[in-house]
Amino acid sequence: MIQVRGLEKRYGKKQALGGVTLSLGSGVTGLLGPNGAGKTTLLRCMLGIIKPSAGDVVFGDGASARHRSVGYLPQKYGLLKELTVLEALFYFATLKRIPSGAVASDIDECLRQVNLLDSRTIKVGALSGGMIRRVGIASTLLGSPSVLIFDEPTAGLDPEERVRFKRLVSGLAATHTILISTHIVEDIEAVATNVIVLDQGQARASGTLQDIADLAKGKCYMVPQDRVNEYSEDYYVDKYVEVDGKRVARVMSRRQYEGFVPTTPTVEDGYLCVTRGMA
Amino acid sequence: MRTLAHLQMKAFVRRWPLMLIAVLAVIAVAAAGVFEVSGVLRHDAALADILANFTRYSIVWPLVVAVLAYEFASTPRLVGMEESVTACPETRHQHWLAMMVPPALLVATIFAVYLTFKLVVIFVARQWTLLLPHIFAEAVLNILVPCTIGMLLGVLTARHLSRYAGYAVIALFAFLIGPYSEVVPFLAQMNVTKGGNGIDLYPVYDLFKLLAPDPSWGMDSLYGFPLEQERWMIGGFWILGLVAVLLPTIGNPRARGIRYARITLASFAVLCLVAAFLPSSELRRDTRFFNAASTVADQAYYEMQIGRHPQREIPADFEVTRYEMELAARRQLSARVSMDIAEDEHVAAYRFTLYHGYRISRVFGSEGEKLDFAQDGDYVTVTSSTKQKRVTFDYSGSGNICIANYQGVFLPGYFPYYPVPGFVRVYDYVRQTALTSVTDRNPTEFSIAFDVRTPLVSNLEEHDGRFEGRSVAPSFVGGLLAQDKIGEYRAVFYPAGAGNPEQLVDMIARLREFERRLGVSESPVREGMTVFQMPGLTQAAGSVVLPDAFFVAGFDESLAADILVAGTPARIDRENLREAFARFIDDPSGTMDMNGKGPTSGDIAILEKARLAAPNDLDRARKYVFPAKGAVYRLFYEKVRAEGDDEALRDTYRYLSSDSPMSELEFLTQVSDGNAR
Repeated sequence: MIQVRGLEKRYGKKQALGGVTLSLGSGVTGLLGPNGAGKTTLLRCMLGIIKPSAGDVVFGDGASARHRSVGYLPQKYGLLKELTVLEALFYFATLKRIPSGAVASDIDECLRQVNLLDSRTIKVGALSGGMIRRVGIASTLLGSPSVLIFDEPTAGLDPEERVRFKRLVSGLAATHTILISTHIVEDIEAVATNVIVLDQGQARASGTLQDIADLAKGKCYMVPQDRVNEYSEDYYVDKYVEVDGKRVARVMSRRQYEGFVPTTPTVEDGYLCVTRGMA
Repeated sequence: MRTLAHLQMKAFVRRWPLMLIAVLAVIAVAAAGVFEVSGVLRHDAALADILANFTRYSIVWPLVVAVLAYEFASTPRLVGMEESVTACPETRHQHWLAMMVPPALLVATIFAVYLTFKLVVIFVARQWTLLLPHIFAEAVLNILVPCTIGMLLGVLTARHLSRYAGYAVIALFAFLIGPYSEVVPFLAQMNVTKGGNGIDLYPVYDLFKLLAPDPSWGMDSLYGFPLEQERWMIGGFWILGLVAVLLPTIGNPRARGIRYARITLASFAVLCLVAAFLPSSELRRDTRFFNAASTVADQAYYEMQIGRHPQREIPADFEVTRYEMELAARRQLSARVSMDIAEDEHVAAYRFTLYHGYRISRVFGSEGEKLDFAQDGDYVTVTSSTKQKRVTFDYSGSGNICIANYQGVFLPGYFPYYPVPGFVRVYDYVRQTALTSVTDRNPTEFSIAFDVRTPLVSNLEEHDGRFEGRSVAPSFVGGLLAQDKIGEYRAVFYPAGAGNPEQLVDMIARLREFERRLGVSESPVREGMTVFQMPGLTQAAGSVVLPDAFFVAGFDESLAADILVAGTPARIDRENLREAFARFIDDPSGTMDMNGKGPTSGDIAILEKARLAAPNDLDRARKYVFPAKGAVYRLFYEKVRAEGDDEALRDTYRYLSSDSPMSELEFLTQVSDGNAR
């Protein structure tokens, strides 16, 4: 359990976080928000990397993040490229004060989970960006922290690895508190049970996947593609999809214009509804 | 921590460009060391010169260390590793400490290699005992301290700045600590040369003076390497300050005392800064005009501001029969000098000469009463309404030409470091150094206690910690020196310097031979005198002969010529002839043009101008002395050829020793007429 209470962060006159209050339980929580919404700032404040202007973060046992083991995968993750994968993880294992007797097995287990066991002797400099990301995920898992925080974890991963990551997170969900920050709704839908939508430094909405999807209830419609331009601009075209062999636009609108066919909203619709101020 | 450091070392070693630069830096240190050792084995040059080779390039190593530290320590931040590490708040400082291990090891290696070779050099040169502490201090101050600061600066910039900004800061650092930054304060003060005040930017400049200021100054045979106390303090300020700034990064954030540690470090840094700017007698080989301890300060004082500080000559109305001095050389010379005064009648104003670098704090009379005094440059006037049998001066300060600090002492008798009765000229405009004539003085009783941390030698005998005896002008020399009885003389010499004092006997014999040929009836150099080797600290004083001691530039063939001309009055209008005369004695075969061509009409005109200008317009006279040199040499050599060596030399020596109003031109042409021309 993690309680975030009235978290504020200002950089001069600019307010990056404006009194964010939220609560995270065990399982996977998705933190959704557009670029610049303050997601990374929120994570960094929660981890104690930067000091919030106001508010506090309390973990379930009453400790702050500085005093407990938290697995954190930052958005920009890198390693000393001169070290091998094994040495790089050994470095993080030492920083995490993992007992020396358990280091080797712990590293092997983490590497196995990210499918890099065979790459342990390769130098980091020879790895692709996606592989470095996986090493990062492995280093996050080192020491079996009870809280895992991932910032854009699937950036740079190929589709297969994204699936593997989602499977990994699903497996950890039962025993860990996991927070995944991303703007890729698809990643969240697959693994998260709860979602928080952050926009302009404010937690605009939170709840289960269904709760978020429901925010767009009555606002999602299908419109034939060739008729899209006939309407006023009081709606958003989300995307074009094929339905029964016809190309239709999936739109979001406060009003149901003639020819608008209601459709079931998704989490992405709910998220867009929030960020567009239509919720 | 060891594991982290080990892995950081692995990363450093595998990063071949950095490793290559580091290895090259260490190889360069070792190569310089090998060069020095081989120089000693081959006796290429004086030990001081050999040891100094490296110091001139000491800017290179802190710069290399700063760049490598930046490159290495910035990598985790640039590749994005830093934020991952911040998620381990308990051990994040260990990551930074581990990252400092490779540059720190590089600094340690450079220092160790440097020191090892220096130790080998002084061992091979058999100067282990004399130079060991000095060499160690030099290695710490000139290598370890700047490199450590370079490393801390590199790490600090790596933590916060992009590569361009980081390199800009490091380049600025290199410029500021390097020798060429002096151009800024030097230019700012230039108005002084026109008699104005100038702007003194040297205090700001001093803030960055981690390295010896002048790249040409490596080591002086007496003073040793420049180990100014200011630079220790400035080094301490930067190291403590940078560590205080870095402490939140490299210190354990859970440690309770970290805030207090920062405050403590910052406080000590400020104390170091204050200590660095306390008055001192450090010898600065730079070109500041403002500080009496700089090389050119005296020249600026006496020559550029001559109107402000005129030289005066007024004989004393009293006689000092005994001096009792308590001297101490630490950061600067501090002195209490008591004088027993003999006088027939009451003297209202007691006139003394005391070098202007020493500031008098108090003057006491016979009964301990405070006396009024006025110190105007080199001249002090003490007024008393009653007759005084004893006058005591308290003063302290520094000098450049003649120094006294914890590292070296050079207080020759011809320098007024103690109150000399009457107003006498302190500065010799011909030799361009502080050189006071002592010929009018009578031998006086001296009892001097000198508290100094270096071996100290005087022409006075030492008894129970006091130097006592009768002397016209007591001299003190302290530093990296040795003394030995050579023939009938007590020689004070510098083992790290050039020349072999054993040659003194031959050189004196050579002097005697010339004295015989020149008809010198009473030699100024007498058996039993103390001969002091002149250190490189002094500004071209040449040889100086005092009644009970003499100073020579070195123990080589030029000694005889130097001493002979030292006994002749220094006159700007005869300077060329003095030089030609000394050169001929030094090397009769000569290298001058002896083809028989006489001086041109232009030469004659220049000589005439020099004659007319001197002695009233020294600047103008000097302007003509150098161009006239060739003409004087040619005329002198013609004279020698026409009259024969002995007669020409005798004539010339007599002329140089005399106060004759005859000009150099008249003297030379008079003889030459009807012969060479």
